[in-house]
Amino acid sequence: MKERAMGVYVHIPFCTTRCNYCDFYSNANVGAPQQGQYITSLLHEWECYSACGVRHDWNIETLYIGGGTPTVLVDQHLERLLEGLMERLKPRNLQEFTVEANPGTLTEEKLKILRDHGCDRLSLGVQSFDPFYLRWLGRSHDVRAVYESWEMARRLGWENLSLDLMYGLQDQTLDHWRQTLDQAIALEPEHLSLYQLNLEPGTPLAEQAARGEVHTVDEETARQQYLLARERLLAAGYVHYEISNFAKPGRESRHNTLYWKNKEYAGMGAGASGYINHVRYTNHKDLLLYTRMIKRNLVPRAFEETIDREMQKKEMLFLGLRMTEGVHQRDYRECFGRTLEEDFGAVIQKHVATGMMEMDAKSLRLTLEGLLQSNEILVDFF
Amino acid sequence: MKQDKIRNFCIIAHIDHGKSTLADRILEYTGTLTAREMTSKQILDQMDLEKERGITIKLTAVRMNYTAPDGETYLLNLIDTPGHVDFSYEVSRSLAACEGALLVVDATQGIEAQTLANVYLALEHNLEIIPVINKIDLPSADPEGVKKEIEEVIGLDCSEAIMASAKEGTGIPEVLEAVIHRIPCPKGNPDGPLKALIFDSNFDAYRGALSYIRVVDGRVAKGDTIQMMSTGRKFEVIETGVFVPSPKIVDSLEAGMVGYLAASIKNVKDTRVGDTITDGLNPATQPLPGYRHATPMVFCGLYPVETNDYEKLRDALEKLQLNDASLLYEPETSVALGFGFRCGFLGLLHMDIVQERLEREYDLSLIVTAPSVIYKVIQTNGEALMVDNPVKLPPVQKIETILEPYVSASIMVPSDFVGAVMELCRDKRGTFITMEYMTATRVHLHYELPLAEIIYDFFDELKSRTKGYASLDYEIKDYRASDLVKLDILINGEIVDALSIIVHTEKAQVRGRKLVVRLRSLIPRQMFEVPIQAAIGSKIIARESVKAFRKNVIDKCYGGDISRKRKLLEKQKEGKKRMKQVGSVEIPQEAFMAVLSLDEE
Repeated sequence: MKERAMGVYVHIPFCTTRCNYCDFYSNANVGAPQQGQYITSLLHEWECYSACGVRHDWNIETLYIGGGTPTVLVDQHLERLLEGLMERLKPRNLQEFTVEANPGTLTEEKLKILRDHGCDRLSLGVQSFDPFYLRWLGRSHDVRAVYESWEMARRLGWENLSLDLMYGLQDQTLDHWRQTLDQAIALEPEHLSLYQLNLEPGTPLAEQAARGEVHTVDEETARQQYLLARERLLAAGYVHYEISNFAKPGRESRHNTLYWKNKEYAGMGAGASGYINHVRYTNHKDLLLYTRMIKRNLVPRAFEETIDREMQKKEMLFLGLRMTEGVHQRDYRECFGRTLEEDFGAVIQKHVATGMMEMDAKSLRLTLEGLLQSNEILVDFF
Repeated sequence: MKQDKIRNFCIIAHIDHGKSTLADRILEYTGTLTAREMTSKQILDQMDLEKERGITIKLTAVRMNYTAPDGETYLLNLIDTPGHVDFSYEVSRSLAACEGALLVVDATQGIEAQTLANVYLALEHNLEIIPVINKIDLPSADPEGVKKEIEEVIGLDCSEAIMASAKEGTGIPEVLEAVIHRIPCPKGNPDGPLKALIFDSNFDAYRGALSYIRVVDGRVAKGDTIQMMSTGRKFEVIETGVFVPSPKIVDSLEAGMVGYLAASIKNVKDTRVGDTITDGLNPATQPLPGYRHATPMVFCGLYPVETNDYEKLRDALEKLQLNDASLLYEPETSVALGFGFRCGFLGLLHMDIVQERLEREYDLSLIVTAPSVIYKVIQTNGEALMVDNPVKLPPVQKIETILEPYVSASIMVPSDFVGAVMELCRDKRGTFITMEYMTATRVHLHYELPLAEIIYDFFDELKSRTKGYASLDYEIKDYRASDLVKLDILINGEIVDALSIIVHTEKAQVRGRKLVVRLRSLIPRQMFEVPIQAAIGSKIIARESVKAFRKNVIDKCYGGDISRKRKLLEKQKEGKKRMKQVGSVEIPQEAFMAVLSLDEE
């Protein structure tokens, strides 16, 4: 039986504080005992999988521990988590092992634990180099922590570092954004993720905005900031490989690429999502419910949907077009036995005619303007 | 059953004065329905739509057997009627099948618009009217006051008016006695050649079109050959029945009776409301007198969102018309929207209901466009051209004059509202002709108005400014020259013909400005800027623009986001389905409706 390659995502829903813009599922100020309980449940989740047919001999190529802030785990539990994962997942050909980290939560000990268990990539939530904005965003670290963590990671041998930046902040000028970018580039990260501040309903910033206390930039400025970032990063040798992601050649996020190429991945932990055997699922977010189900040896799924063939096609497109290399003709043909032209000819033609898309023998891609208008374009594929 | 024991009557009243409740009580009292069977609050309302809106649309006839205190058994046919002003035509048809009417007036409200309107209709049909003062159980009831009002305003003797509370069941026996003793029995000729009036119809999937009839002379039974007097076509009767209130087959329908017949009539048009059915082998010489046809008050264009649904729309309109003879429609085309229909309705509510039924029962997505009239264009070369679509107007240089149809309008209104009505007519470019006082409080106004000004919301405006008391009747008089221009709407530089209208010069600027502003708020943003312009000829008189998206991106889409973001895109796609692609711009249905709102704030 041909072995299946897949990725595994592990969710650690703990943070020190909650950032003002975040609508992620997370719990603040979780003490060590509770952390420990959670890790125990999470590791046991892997056993529960056998109940629903997930084979344990799958070839796990990427591992990604995200959150929340995985690095708030106390050393003892972090170590237990990593050991437990390796025991169960038994990856033979792990190509990338990422852990999300927050500056300020990283200590030498912690980094050593990560390194010793095979973590070879860190994704740091920097967001800004301006103390004013860090406070405004409600981040729990300061600028110095960024530089310290970065230096530590390099010193301890990390050669694959990524950082996150946010733009579109209140009154942020293009100049300010340019400075931020330069500061980031100076750190020479292998990878960057850039996100426009979005006011998600229910977040403190959104509520403040509703009261008129806070605002974000207008659309035109956001566009300019996006283009500026692209320009600077391209000039600095980065490849713009996905709508929001940049990397030095060969340093693209392999794990995230699984999502965009519509490949399989398992999600472990409260609120984690997975895609296996054409079924998309999400685990329970609520810690109590999650723990209870695991105790009963039940896979803690809150939501499941089967993706039929027609929907698989649409997903391949809406996800694949996020990557600048687009959707490969060969991949589509191998997957579905049909061509892109056959299945989406009219839509493609419409957008090629307006300069939003390009297609050739190799692939179907969004142009730069297409990327900027992608939301509207992708609707047509449904 | 001999005619002398039959009574055909209906209940007429203003909305919510209690006629449906009264009907229910009568059904219960006569044992036609047991209390247990009264599953819905008002049993005679059949359709879901009716239930939702709490109004009766389709009338129903119910046969009841009633044994009076005098020991005799009578056969009572009760015909329920719609209460809404739009459906006065339906009321008229039910009146044609009766000899008498119960006039129900709410003891706490007194006479209201619909009361008056329907009483006059009933009097025109020479019906015996029995006043019933309802809701006497309520604390604010003033039965004596209401009786006096009826006598003064309508001139109807109320000395024997019945005091009732349909809710409590009071007065029901008295109502039935009055029906027996005061409403005349039918006096047709039972031995003469068959003459039956078609007062309604219904399409049944298995039996074809059912004709609801009131047999005046003769009888009709299964196996008989009947003939429609208007078309001469003959059919064989396969079933005759009555409603109790559900359909029940009977052997025959005799003179004086009300019921239905099925005769394998496949085509709606073969059972025309108002027509007389006679015996195919021994036909009558004269049909029964016809009655007033409904005059459509409101017109609009109806187009399918999906051009492929044209046939479906046509079939749906045909089927709807079978159950609703007051719906008029004929084919129409639009460069922007393709093939559709120009439809005539009794009023805005009627239009709303038809639209909803088309969408709900026939699963159609519709675009409703601005109404139009037929203009007469005299060109510079002397040739006259009839233009029913603003798009067909010849170029400005070739036009000598444009003439528009004018109507002669007859408005009856209480004297209190004369000023409001005159203001409205002035607003609609009307010309005052005469004013007469019919009674001390009732005025008859005669105006001449451009048809274009009254075809959409004039009727509703009239009703709302007069608290519903005014009534309108009109007929097309002649064509007159007017200072009219064609107002075009351009979206993204292209004229959207479905939005073009012909307006009076005085109103062009204001109308144009309002339209572009309204459209700007209705047309969703696209990937490019969309200019919206109002133009007369090549002159742009108003301009707005819908800004393009500058960044419209799903920034993050990782494992946990995929389902959610995908659903958002699916939802957006659903939204787009209700839009029509006009050139390179996607326009929602509401944008077309924007043209219809005339003087909105």
